[in-house]
Amino acid sequence: MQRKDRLERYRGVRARLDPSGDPLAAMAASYVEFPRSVSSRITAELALSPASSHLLIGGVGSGKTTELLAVQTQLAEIDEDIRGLYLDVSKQHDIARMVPGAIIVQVGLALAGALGNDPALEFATKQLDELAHGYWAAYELDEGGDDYRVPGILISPEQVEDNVQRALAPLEQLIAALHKTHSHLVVLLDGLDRMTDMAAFDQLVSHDIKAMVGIGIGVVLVGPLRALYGLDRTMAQRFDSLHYQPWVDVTQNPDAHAFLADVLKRRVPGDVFGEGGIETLVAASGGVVRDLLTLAQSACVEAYIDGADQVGPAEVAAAIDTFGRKHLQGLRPPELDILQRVRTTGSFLHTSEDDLALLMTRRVLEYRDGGPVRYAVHPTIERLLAELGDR
Amino acid sequence: MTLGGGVTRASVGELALRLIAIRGAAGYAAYLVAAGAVPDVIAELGEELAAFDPALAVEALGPGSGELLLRALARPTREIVVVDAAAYGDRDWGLLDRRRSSLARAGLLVFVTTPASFEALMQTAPNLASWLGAFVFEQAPSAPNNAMVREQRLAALRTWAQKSDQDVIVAATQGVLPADPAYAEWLVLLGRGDLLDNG
Amino acid sequence: MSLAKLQVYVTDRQLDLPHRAKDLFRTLRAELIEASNAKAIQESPQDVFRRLQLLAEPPAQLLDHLRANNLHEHAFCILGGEKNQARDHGAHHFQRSDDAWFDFSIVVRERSEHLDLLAYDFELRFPPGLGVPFLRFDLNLPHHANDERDIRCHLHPGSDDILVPAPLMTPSELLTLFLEGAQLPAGRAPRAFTAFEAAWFEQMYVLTRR
Repeated sequence: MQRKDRLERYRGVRARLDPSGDPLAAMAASYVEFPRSVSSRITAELALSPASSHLLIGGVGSGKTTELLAVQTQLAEIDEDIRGLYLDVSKQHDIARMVPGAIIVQVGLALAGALGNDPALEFATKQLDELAHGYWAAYELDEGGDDYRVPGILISPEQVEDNVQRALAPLEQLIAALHKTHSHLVVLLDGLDRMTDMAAFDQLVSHDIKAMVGIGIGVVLVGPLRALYGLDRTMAQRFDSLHYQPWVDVTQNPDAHAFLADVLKRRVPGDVFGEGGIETLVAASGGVVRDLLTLAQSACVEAYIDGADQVGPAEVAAAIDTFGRKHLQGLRPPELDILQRVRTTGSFLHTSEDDLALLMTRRVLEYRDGGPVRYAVHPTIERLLAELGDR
Repeated sequence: MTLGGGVTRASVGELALRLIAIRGAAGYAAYLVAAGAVPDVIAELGEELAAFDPALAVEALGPGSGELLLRALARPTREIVVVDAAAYGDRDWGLLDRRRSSLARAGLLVFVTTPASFEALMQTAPNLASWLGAFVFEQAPSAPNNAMVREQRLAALRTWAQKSDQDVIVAATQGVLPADPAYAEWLVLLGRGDLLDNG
Repeated sequence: MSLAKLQVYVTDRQLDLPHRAKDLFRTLRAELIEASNAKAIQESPQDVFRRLQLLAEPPAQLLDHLRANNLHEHAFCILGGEKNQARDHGAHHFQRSDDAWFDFSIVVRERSEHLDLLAYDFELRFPPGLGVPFLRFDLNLPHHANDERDIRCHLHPGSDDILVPAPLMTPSELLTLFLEGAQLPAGRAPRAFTAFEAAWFEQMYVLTRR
């Protein structure tokens, strides 16, 4: 590294490695297209069928948000008649309390924002806003005053449908306004991967998604990883296409290894990591893009603290150790047994809730690279598990 | 259940150094301390950060739940926000995990909490855990080697002066101890700072 | 003629010190880390954490009798590097980019509203060719005897036997002097020795060989 303040230099590198920052900015600066990328396939299918629905599933840190944003960018490049609209539905609303109609309302409000302050759309926007946030109506005891309806506790299936339709009506008006400039709208919905209540997720899909597709809106929805397993996997059939954003099998697939190495190389100058540093970090990441970036960040911090001009083996090892120690916390004894089983035999049970929980929390990684599905423990906890197993 | 020897240990000062090293971009960290020590640790962390940069804007928040934290973060906050999360359980961490996008901010967010609360985070908030990455540390004593350093210094002083500790105390008590700075240090290390004015 | 008035002059400064020993310690640590960041010293931030220590008087349970008599005075040592009277380069110290190296110790006492600076010893040692082997700035303990009082704050210019009055400085000022001062300007070579210096060093060589 050149003779400049060490702290400022490492800060700059670390900022470029930040996986939690603005994904749009990261995309602009350093997007690396994954081989057989999910975004390319989704974009291609939407170009042919703009009102299709797509479920995108992937593990924590696999890059789903980045792929959604890539779809938004690629759609604009492929067909300027299609308007892509990215929306994180978890940002303003607790997804554990999502009810049918909530997604439609959020999409409508986002679209109203994107269309600008068109006076013709004021009423539709107001309706959506009131649906979203509620409103007060005057309650007059005098004869002839407005009635204020107090909603009942029981919500019938017909009322659920009513709520959806009430939200749909203003959205349709906004779509009509969009048609002045674009023929199609595709919404890219992020945030629902964190839903744990699969029944609630199913409700949203069967009402909101179905209703939006019904009025010609294309939908790409990031869903929970659980939707791939057990009884929940029937949910995927509600969509036209299922897309899986995998963790990348860096130990078995040279292309995958090269892809992740490239993710790092695009973000940092060539002299940051010493010989072998990138390879060790890629292997330790287990193919999880976010983990690769956080490990690299941590290694940079260790190098700064150690006074090193370059991130060397000691700093990489320290980062892996710190990550692994954290990753091992919060485990229950049965989960520890499962991890030892996966570590020593590679055996994983789709039907076991405890096994699935370890997949959701990324202690177990699943690889589907075209060959047989493979399971492994996260590399950062492998040594620590081996030490525990030896006792 | 603490596994693998627990998370990596760092003193409050070492944590502050790491936070200074990651300033300038979004970042998330967790610091595990004993129950009951959280408010003092947060105050100490503020002082440590200020020592590195007096202009650094640090805000300590103590919202009692994840819901209240989200509301507090919705208004403008300072560059580094340190949160007393000792009371957070499954429900709070689960909410913060689902509403993780609302935690996103330009500066650093540090959760100071207990090991038990952190275990709940690891069980119920995999996305938030993923954002924490490798920036999770447990409090180490600020001066673990003080006794050793003290004894090393005393041994070096005895060798240099060819005197015993008792010789020094007697000389100081009688007002005949030489004024060299080394003898001042010697008295303090022996716990006889009361004799510093006896010259 | 006594130098008492001179000593009063050089020590009669209102020092700008933090209120607590911990804060002074943190300030010095931040200055050393900043020097590390700028590569003005060769030690890493980790080294700075390890080599700079704050030691308070031993724990209270050993001093109950003193506490009972209100004699416990909250004195502290701030130590930079290992105790090194023999000037052994192998002992932990801080080393500048020009290979000059130093260590220091400071004794302070916390009062209710301020910090008393009671004593310090800052020694900077030079590589051969820079004129003197070391500079040491000492602040002795306050002493009642006149001869000791007149030289409480002094500089040893490369000799443990010779000392001259020096201004009272804060630890931060001394550290700044060691980090940024007392060195050749960048790009300038040391001046050639005069005949006097050359003869002096030659005689020194002869004397040390006896």
